[in-house]
Amino acid sequence: MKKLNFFGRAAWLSAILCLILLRPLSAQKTEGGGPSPFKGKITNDKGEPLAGASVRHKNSNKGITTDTYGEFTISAKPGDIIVISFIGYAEVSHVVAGGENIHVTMKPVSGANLNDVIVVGYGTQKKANVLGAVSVVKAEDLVVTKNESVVNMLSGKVPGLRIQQMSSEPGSFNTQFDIRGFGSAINDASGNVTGNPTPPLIIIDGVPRGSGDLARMDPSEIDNVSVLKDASAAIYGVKAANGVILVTTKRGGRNANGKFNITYSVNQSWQQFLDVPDPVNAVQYMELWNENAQRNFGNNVTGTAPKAYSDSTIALYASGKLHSTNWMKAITRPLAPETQHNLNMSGGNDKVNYFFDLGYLTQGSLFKTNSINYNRWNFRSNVNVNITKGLRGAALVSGYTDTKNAPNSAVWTIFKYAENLVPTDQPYANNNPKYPSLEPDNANPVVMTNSDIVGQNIYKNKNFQGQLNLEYDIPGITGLMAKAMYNYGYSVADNTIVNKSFNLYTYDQGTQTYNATLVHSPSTVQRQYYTNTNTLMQLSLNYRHQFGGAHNVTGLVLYEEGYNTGDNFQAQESFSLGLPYLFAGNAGDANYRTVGQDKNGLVNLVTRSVVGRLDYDYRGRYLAEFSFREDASSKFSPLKRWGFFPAGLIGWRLSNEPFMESLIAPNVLTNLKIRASYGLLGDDQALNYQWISGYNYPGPGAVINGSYVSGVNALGVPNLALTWMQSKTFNAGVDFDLFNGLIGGSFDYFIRKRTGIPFFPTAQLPGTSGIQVSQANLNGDKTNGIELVLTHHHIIRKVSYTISGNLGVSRIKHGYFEETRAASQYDQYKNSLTDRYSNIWWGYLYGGQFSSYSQIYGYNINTGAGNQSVVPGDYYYQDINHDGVIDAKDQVPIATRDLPIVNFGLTLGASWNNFDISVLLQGATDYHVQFAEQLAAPLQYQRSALIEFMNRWHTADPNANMFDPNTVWVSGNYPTTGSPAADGSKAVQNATYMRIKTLEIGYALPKKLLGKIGIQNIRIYINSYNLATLTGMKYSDPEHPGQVNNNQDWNISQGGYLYPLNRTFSAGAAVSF
Amino acid sequence: MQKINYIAVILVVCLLGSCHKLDLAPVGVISDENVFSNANAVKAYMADIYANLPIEDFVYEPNQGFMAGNGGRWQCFYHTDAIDGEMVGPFGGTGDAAQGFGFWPYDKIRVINVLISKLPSYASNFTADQVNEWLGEAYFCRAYTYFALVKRYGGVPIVRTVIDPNASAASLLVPRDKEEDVYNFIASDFDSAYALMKDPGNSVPQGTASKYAAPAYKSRAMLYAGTIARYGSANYVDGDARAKGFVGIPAADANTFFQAAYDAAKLVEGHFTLYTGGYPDKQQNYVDLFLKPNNEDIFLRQYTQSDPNTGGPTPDNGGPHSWDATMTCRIMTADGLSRAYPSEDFVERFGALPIVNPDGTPTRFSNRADLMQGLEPRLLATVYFPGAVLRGIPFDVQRGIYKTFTGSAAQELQNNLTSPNDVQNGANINLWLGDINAVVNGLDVIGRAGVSTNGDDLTRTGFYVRKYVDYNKAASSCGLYQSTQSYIDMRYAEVLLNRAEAAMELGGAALADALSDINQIRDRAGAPPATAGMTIDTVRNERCKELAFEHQYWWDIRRWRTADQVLNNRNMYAMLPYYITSENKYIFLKQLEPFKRTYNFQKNWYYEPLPGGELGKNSHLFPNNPGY
Repeated sequence: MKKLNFFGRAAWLSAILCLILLRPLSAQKTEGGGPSPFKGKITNDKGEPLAGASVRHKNSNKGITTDTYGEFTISAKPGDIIVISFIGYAEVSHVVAGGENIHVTMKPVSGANLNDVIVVGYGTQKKANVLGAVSVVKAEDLVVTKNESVVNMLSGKVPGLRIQQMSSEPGSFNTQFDIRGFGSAINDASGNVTGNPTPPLIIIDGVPRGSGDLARMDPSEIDNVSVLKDASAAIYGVKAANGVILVTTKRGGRNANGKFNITYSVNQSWQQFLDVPDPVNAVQYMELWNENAQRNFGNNVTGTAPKAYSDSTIALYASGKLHSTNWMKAITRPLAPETQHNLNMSGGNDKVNYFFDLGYLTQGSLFKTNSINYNRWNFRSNVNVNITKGLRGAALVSGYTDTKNAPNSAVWTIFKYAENLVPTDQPYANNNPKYPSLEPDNANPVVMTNSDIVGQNIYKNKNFQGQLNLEYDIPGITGLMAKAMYNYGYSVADNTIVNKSFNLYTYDQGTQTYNATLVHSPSTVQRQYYTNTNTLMQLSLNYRHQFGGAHNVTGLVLYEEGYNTGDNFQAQESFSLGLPYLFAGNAGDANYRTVGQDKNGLVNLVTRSVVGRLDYDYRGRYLAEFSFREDASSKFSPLKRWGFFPAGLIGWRLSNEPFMESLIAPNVLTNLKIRASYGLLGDDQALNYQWISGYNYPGPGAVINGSYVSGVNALGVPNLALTWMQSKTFNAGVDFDLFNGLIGGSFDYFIRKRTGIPFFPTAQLPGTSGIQVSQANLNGDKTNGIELVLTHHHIIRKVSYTISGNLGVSRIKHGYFEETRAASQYDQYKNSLTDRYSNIWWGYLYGGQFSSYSQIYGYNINTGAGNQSVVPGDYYYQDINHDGVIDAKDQVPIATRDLPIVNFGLTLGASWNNFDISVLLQGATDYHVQFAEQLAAPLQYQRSALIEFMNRWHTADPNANMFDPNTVWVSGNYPTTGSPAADGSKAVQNATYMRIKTLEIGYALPKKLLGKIGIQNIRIYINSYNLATLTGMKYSDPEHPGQVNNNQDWNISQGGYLYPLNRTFSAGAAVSF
Repeated sequence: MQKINYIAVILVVCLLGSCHKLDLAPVGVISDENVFSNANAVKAYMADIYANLPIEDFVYEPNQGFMAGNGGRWQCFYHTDAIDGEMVGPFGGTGDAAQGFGFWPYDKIRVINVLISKLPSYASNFTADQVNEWLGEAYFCRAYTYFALVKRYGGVPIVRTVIDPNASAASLLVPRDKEEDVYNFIASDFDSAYALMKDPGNSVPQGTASKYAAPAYKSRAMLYAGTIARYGSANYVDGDARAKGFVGIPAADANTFFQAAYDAAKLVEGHFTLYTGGYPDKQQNYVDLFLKPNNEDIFLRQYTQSDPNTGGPTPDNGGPHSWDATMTCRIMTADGLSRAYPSEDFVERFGALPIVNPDGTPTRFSNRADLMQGLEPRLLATVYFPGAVLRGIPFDVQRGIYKTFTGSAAQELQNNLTSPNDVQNGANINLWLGDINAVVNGLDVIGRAGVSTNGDDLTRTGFYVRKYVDYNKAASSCGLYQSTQSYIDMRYAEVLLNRAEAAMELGGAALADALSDINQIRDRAGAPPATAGMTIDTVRNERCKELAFEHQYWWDIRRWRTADQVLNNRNMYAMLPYYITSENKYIFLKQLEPFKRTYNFQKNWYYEPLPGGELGKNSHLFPNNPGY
């Protein structure tokens, strides 16, 4: 029934499109006579052909685009004026003399160009005609930031694209990003965020790919990146709700002499940690430890707390007789290398254009052992072929292979122990490097960072994409083109995990012996193998035509089918011969032999879609676009298999109105466009076959008669009505350009409402029913915000400069939220989420620090235990409800969690003669973090502390009794050791920051010199990533994640022990032959 | 024409790679029919039930629940008996765990109810015996689960059927049943299990229920009901829930339950025996009882190193635990740390230790190990004393060093052992206390096995737990997640103790039976026999000694309603060894455990509060238990 509906609708739409397509046949006949076809060719100032340039009659707006050789054929009669325009080049008008073939050379201009062609969903549009909230990053703007991850390179460049780099661990690509906050994670029943934000849909050369694939691209293979933020993404239907990032790779151009351009570039970077915690030394540690012992109130009561470390013991370290260990310095080095090489070839002739890219990246870690390291090869070969007249083909083949090596120790544990091991311990027993010392939890960071000892993990990814494109200009109907595309993608993850047992030692001074203890056993080797195959087929009809010299129509119908299948297995053996292969395991150790399969990696999914779009504009003034997508996926129940996602966009280009041109001269108001869009988008990522009833196997099981029996467990009551969440997006914007691009900008306002967010309806279902429910489409939310872009471009004498700033603000509010009936009004106030802002951080409001005992004695609010154990320097909080007690009821909303609400970027670029400089400032505000564990308080787990905790309240005389009111105190940032750690608004820090994300200074060697040795260009540069950060935060980088919400995926911050972010200094060169 | 060929070829290629049907089923889903039509599938279904059975095993934590997955499987020291003072350890006191963890396993009960209601209609696929065996196991597991509920909350809603998900919202609001009714329901389910299952003869499957497991557990449940009826009628917190019978059982019904407990226990007789396979060494025998499969075991949870789910997204309880790593200290193991230590209070259940001479001076020992001479084998098999040896390494437990020691133990304790622990300062210090690395005149101030107040990782009572510690394993195999010895949830000794206690409570003719039950236990333990004048306290104390560290004492003092007296501002004691250099001797001082944790039990804790969220969803669960 539903299928019929779909076909009904599709047929209806196709019929309309067919009518439109058929019209030009008759239209052409009526024009007749006069004009005759003439040919032209368009190149840039370097003689390279410009494909896709627009060629049109000045008065009729009737136009075509150049082919891959920059050639075109257009009907014109002598005296006609044709206008040629192309992205980044000054428009050229040509008066047709008749009968000739023309050759037009276009000169590049900088700044905004309304004729820029922008990649949008399943096509391109002229910038002037774009109606959606679409932002573009061009290749040259992308590569100015030097980083191993393309995602990080986008940071600060796109308004509304929120990017937080969590770590610079080589090979981890741990960066969270979303568009306008749309991918925000879904709250669970307690209002806690669960899981990670969902990244936007990523489309690389028309094919949906993962965010890991985007991060791992070679930046020099990218031509441009388009970010679709509103209903313009609706053409991607059920996967589009979080916005779409479209990446287009470079194509070859034709050279006048048929020659290839070869560019080799190299970038050598040195990384250093942006912020790495610094542990205290032994003397400081003992001072804090003694203070903590005294602060311990229980000991005070008995009055007998002896000092754990006597002055004489401290003196041993202070005098240098005994050495203290800085565990962080013991495992890290100040600088680590990172190198990128890249070879580009592009060129071609009339028949074939070619782009070839080969990239290599190697990144070391800041561990002394370099045991974490990463390398990657990228290649791409894009070939465009003119098969015969009107038939064009393209073959895009690309791939990457990368390897991450890491020691068999979780990275967060390495940092945890490097921060908290006591400095009086030594890395080696008796300082003999043959005998690594036994440390608490068997965690000796010097060993943990050594793959030779703990075993090495090798994570390999291989990815291959092969794409065939065919375009055919259907004869007889001008502007009608058929396209076919088939893409085959294959990826492999091949992991080797070696766990080696090893000895740690203690040294017995008495007997002068080393006591070995074998840990980390048994030694095992595990292999994991994941494969994934994606195929995608697209068949489409594209139409572009102008009617009556004023009505421009573009149309598209497309059929798409995708198939995704994934499989995996893993096996483990004992690791006995020292070879990381299963065969080398000891067959006798069957106890450690396991074979398994990750059910989440078993994928079998078919999607089918019909896509359509119709663009219309009247003389470039009144613009409208309608798009739809009909999506079907095997993921959904047959009842809810097909979904229809329409969108409409309209715009009015006031600057093209004659009345406007008469009011304000076009060279003042170059462009003014107002636009609005509305569409329905879907998000199916949370869905997982919950319409199927039955049992899951294998599930948790039990050991029966000594052997393990896997269990089956019920899938839960199926919900056949469960479907994708729906997202309705409205966007209104205005674009303007003044003085031919001297000043330009745009402003956008958006509202995005989601309904049917899948949620387990357990909040109101009594537990006694025992019913295991499936998700239902229950909750809703609303996101709104603004974006602003302002650009300024100018040339003063020989200095050309650009300033471009962008700002994005986004805030999310819950709509309906299924929750258990509140037990009280207070419970309702505190815990209800319906119609509340999301990501709210509750806590105490900080009052101050007690500065004296007289203040404490006079303080009539009970901060706990009747203020019996409060000492000067302790924090106090505001008694919000004035009940004289500080308890949970005094908690109020104090901040917002997770990704920043306001993100901004500022790009400054200038060039003068052969010099160029660019600076990217990037920052965020309305952004808060809280420290966890070692950064939150000293002596965690009764171990060591970080250096900042020395700046604390303490007694002037370390031997003084801190409970004696007459004791003299020295003030500091933190309370005395052992006092309660910061809480509430004292602990939650304002992480507003702005940093110099990128600074690059380049110099192009004079061409006069180079010409003689056959080199076209050499540019050398120095560059820095994350050069400096302006922030009020201390002791941690603002982007480094601290504490996560309760129940939120702990891995987001890993206790605050993620591998820190880095700063890099680079030098590089690019040579073109 | 050539053009058309190109297009045709490419289109064919495209289409060949496409054309997939939209009707794809997810991998790994088994239909309802298949689950009950195939013996292996029913077995898997049963495995799921057993995986979720609320067994208080090695990884159960009284404040966190039944810990599946590696996150909780290493913290074995968060043991029930560490909140009741049998051990002192990681909890700050009794209150840390006394109010439970919101246990509400009706989803698991539903899984059992589904089997009970559906399996009969698929009976033709199997033999009648087989079907009855599975149904019997299901009734056993249902009773087991309800017992886990009733001992926490008192009366809870009894759900016998599979509730229809489409039922009206009002009908989903199931009310509470009375505590007594829940116990009767449990009894009838155990009876059903007993009736349905076949006598297994000598082959008892391990890790699943069997015919005689049902009466064994019934004896436990009925004993609980009987004592609650008898003692809960004297010592209670009043409230609506009590008035309505949701908590509390009329005293008049006590004997009915005791009789049921007695009868059930008697039913088990002859099918299991106390383990004596290690005789004549009664200490070794008692140690091996917990490590070797034997005919005392009635119901076990087993573990395997190769459980594929332990670290996965849906972890279960079949993976290895960490008992060996977290009950003794680091020097005998490969990882992990101990945090819970038997208290001197527990050890004294076996009688005061001979550490003080009649004149009040501490007894001098040449070796720490000498103290163990003459102690009850069962005690030495339950607790590692200072000087005991594990894996070739002695527990060199020591609190400090005296240069000289004069006077009585009591005096020294009064002095509060005030000497500073600084080894560098002054020559006049008589007592050194220190950390594990401190050395004085070439002597360790404390042994590598403790005692330490610097952290939680070494004994603070002088003792370590020995029960279940596998002495056969190499130290390197005693890391976290490397222990696979079975947890014995029910053994015949408990059945005898249940029987003895029920008999004592019934009195009269049954008393002789109680004495013989106790003496069977005592004989195996290597303890002198009890005599005819024994009291209920003798039986209870025997239970505490025999079932130490088996998650029993906590529930026992609750059902006896003695917890509020036993744990009334209570500090636990340690027995700490010191070395006297001038004499080259050891002494032991009985003193407060150095952390001085205080144990208190509030009377309302005899029942846990109903889970707050459930009260919000179902108003028929009110009234909540008294005092909440």
